[in-house]
Amino acid sequence: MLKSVLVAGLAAGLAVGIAPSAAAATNDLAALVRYSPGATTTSLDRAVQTAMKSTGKSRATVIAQALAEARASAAEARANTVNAKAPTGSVTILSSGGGTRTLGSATAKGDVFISPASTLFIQHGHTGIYYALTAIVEAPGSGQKSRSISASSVTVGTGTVKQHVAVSQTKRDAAGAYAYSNLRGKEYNTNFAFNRDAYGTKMNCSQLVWATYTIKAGIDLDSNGGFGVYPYNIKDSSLTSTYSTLS
Amino acid sequence: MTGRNGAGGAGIPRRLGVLFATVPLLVVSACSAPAVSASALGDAVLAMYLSPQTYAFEGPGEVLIVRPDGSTASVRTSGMDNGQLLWTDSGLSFADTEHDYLLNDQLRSWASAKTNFQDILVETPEGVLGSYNDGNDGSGYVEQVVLSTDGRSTLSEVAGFNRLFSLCEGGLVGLAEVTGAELTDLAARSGAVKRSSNDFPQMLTWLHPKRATASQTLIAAVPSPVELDYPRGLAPCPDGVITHLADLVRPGGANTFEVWRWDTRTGRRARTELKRPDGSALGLTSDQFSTSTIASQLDEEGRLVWFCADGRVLATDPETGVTEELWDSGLPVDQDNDTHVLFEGKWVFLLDVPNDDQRRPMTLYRRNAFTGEGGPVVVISGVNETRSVQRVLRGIAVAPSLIG
Repeated sequence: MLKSVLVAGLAAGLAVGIAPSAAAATNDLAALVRYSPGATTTSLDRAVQTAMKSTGKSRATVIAQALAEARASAAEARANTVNAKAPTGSVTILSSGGGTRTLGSATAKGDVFISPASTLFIQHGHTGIYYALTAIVEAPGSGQKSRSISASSVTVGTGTVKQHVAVSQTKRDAAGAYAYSNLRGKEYNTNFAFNRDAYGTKMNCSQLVWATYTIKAGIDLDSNGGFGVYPYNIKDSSLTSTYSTLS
Repeated sequence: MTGRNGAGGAGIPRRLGVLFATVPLLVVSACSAPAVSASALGDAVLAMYLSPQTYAFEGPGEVLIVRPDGSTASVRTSGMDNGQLLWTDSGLSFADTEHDYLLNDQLRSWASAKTNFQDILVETPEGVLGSYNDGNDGSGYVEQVVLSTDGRSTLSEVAGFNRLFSLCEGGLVGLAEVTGAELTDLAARSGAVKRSSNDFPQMLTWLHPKRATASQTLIAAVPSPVELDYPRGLAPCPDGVITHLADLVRPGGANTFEVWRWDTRTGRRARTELKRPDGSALGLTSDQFSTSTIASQLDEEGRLVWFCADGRVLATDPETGVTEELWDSGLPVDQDNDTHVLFEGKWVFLLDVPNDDQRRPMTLYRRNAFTGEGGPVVVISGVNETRSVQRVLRGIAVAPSLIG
């Protein structure tokens, strides 16, 4: 339900085609920066220019659409957070974010996981791909290389889902193997809003998962087709199905 | 694959001094533990490393020192995913991405830049040795090995996404999928080749001291047509023979659990499937097996003692694979409980970390590893509710006074 509401709402917002003013565009860009922790106004502005050229849309429209998508992503990532039981009236916790669970193994290579928002930094949630049943590949935090980690060493927030991707196991295997062999060692991409670049020199978590399936299976896991692919776009894709929720 | 030296010189770095000065402002809730003082370690019984994970790596890490009455003091660090602790008679050793630390009657730290995912921290005759998962550099998978001694750290890079470690005759050994150009060529001579994504050829290598050549580094290589996973813990290596558990992972959950022995002097490996005394299978899931913890020493009968994630302590005969239950702690590792396990001599220390209700305190138990006799050591309030993906409880260590 939430999935359809969000997608429909975003589509409606994009379809209205209101021409935002230049001032509104400036405000929207500032807001977009806030939804893109680590990204700068300059880097996002550069991405906006590229999107304008590729779509023929105005600057204001591109920014407004990207902001709408970012807001929808953050809202869904927050909505999927299962808060841990905390003391009534407790003071603010340094890094609040609810309970945690060990990620654990997958049932098929190429499966993906999506973890809900837990902090301001991870406001869009997190995702990664299993290159093996017991090990994942993910794009970690800013400034770090991608690396493989044993799934029994990965801790995720409650509400995390594990999903199959609706392609043949051969293609899932290929996607997992590609992530293991080709998408590691890339710097973190702080720009989620315009990250649909399967061959980027930088990668963020949802871009990495999306890129593997784009390249090796020829499918698009971005559920809303916006400028950015966010973790919950992958969860909401008609090509993914949840088989486990860590509650 | 080059070595490099960290800047030498012990002392409290200026950055830490600044952090200490601001701790009362930065730290709230359970983090309201005061910063560690000059008499830091004192009568502390337990230490815990809480830290963000790599994908959430923005905030600090924290080493909490727990007193016998459950009160805590803290050392703020720059963070270390999977941060480990080592408590010896010399003090408490730990690391972050920028420094290595030794805490005893004072806190000493020295520059030691490294990646942010720690695999192990062990004591060797040369000093304290840490091993870190760095990722792929394009030519192969890289592990960073950091030796800290006398206020100075030296980093070297070796090959492998190592998922099992052992200390053999003073050297550090790792087990990983075959990687690195030279090691891959050498491993191929033993048939350990990755022809498809279903192949997981394994290599056993010397990680420290770093060997001069690939042939000196490679102890053994074996093919594997199935994926492999290994339970937690440093594998025992008496007389140069490593003993550990292995999970042969198959889709659909049709896994096989085995005990492996590697003779590091000959490179020979022996495999035996685990079974109950009546010959039946253990009946564990792959996740239960992989989140189990093995002891770093064999018992007097040569058996591998391990804490099974279902809460039982088991002993496996490496020759027959026969695995019997020694006792049941009642503290599983599952959705509701995140029990942390530490084998030390004849003891097993179990830190009960309730997951189902984070308002409940953590409790440290000390029990005889073979009989289960013993009881609680300390109850820690105010920490469990602060755990999150940015504050994951990782390594624990207990005071040597509890072990003797």
